[in-house]
Amino acid sequence: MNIVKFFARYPLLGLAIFASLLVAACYPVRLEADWPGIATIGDQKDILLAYNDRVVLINPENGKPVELRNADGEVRLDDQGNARIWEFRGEEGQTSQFYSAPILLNDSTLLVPTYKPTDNRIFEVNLPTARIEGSGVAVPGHVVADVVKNEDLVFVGLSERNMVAYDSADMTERWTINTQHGIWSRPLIVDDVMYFTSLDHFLYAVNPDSGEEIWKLNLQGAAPGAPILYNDHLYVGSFARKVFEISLDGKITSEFTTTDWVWGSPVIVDDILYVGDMGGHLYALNVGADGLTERWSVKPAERAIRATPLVTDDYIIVGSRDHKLYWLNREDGTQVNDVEGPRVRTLNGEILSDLLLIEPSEQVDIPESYVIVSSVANDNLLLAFTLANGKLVWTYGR
Amino acid sequence: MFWDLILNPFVTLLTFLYSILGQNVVLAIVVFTILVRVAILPLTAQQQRSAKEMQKLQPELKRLQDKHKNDREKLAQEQMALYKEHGVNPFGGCLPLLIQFPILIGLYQAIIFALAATPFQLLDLSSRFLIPGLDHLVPLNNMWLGMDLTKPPTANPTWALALPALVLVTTWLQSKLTIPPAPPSDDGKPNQAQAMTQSMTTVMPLMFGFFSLSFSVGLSIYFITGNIIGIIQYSLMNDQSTLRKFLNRGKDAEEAPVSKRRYTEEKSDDDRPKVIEAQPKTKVKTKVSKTK
Repeated sequence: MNIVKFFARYPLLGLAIFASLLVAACYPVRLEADWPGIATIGDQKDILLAYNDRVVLINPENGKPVELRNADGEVRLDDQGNARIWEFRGEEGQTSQFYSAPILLNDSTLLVPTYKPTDNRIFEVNLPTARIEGSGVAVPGHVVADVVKNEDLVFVGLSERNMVAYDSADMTERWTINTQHGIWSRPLIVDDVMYFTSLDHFLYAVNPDSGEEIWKLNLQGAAPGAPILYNDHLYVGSFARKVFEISLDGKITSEFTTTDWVWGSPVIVDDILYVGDMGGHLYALNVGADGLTERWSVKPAERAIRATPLVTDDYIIVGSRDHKLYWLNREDGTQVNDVEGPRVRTLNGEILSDLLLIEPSEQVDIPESYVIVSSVANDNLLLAFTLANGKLVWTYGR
Repeated sequence: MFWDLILNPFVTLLTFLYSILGQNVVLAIVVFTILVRVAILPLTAQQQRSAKEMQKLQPELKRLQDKHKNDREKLAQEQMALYKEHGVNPFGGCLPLLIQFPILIGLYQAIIFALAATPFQLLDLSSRFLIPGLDHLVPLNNMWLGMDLTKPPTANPTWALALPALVLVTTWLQSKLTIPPAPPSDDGKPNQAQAMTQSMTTVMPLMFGFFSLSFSVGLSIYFITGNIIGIIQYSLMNDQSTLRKFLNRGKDAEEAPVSKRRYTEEKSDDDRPKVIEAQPKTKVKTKVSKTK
């Protein structure tokens, strides 16, 4: 039977196959909207990982989910006698997704925003039990940016447009600032002024109590990365292929041109600004009276460096879309070489989330500093490498 | 990357159109769809010509099938001889369709990429521009008439639901006009081909209408524009008014007795007598007499 006759005989089956092909061909390639949001909480530096359908709390010592304990400190067991782990999956029957790293509302409550097709909410989750408290607060959009709070308010940037402030006591809306496009990065609050960027090209400075705009500045391109503050200046990059130095009254005092779009936030250590671009370049810029001047630039990665570089005493560590994690010498950006070759580690997925550094302390029982890196591959969601030699310590995946 | 070869020029063109059309993304999508459809017009025309030629041969093919229903090899030989005699390639419509398919899918995907509703989509957009100077336009303004073009109609104001309805209506109209009606069997009962045709003209609009409910509003605009262009194209490429043909088809079908529908439809179609005249008369007569 040839294919024409087959479809003539089973027309509805033919249509179903055609429809499946169309959906497969036309559906956006990625099902995820964003990459994992990661953050540490508490003195024990437990790692909160928010990605896809769940939020999970990971023990930095061994990369395993934190076990839930009762008031006596004993591990809680489920019906089968297995240890219950700290994991939050949203409402039953809902297709919630999570990208924004949750924050502590108070000592025992986490705020967890969702990313769903409709009816997005910010849930209050009890930290000791990993259970939702109440039904959550409806928010008028999706949340991909990390949420920030001050003493009274919780600030939520929406991925479509607008910044909304909620009263942290009862989560009622206090004000909304209208933007022309989405807010994809966390706001920065310094000295009673909140600064945030938007894809509408502007950097906003607002009064966090009232939502009143103090000034806004055109960054000449979409700005999906958060600004940072250093020596009374703001530093931020944009898709205009530039990094800007901005005075606190909203004037550009210096700018540096990069090769490609700048997405991630810069980081400044000892008067040197480090930032990556979407072409895989990494720049070290002097920050001083002469404005932003190049110290060195290198191209360690084949693809975009989206995340903020991790800077330590000796190294700069960057993750890239090429799945690789690079150790570079802080002095000149050259690759760190070990006996066995360049210190580059390859993960199973793109590295897009910011990196974390966890150091030994009285509360954290680890023998040396760990670099925590997240990828979008389900079997490589979180990995810990030793800072000193890049040795893989543990992997968390699903 | 095969898709990048199609997607990158499309994304660049769409963004360029957005920049010169007053940063109106809907206008950019409409013009973009028109330009791409015009560019592939020769392919569409060839496909339609091939379909028409095949349609004209249907009565002959049917007769051959009846005659050689127990000898598949002979049937195949006779069919090939018939195609050769009339200079028709039975797969002539397939190649243009195969070439068009990735282009149309690329067009569809370009709209998704250019609107960049999510961080991942914007990330994927970052390396697609082939000409410099378009960076400052990213991401495109995705609001139109109070609707967010990156979201489905159900997540937009109520009036956005008009778009899936328009997709449904225009898809139905287009498929009604462009999908040729299959003649019923000699006994007047619908044959398999006719059943499939009916399914296509009924299910496809419903299917696209349903897709439009869950896909972004921007894609609904693409569907509607593509359908309207398809209707106009078909009208221009046929020698009679599309509307008149559409109305006549319905009228003929209603008025003709079931047993005579095939005859009536053949006679009412301006093209068919011409083909029969163009065929070598003796051979046709021979075949008809043999069938009888």
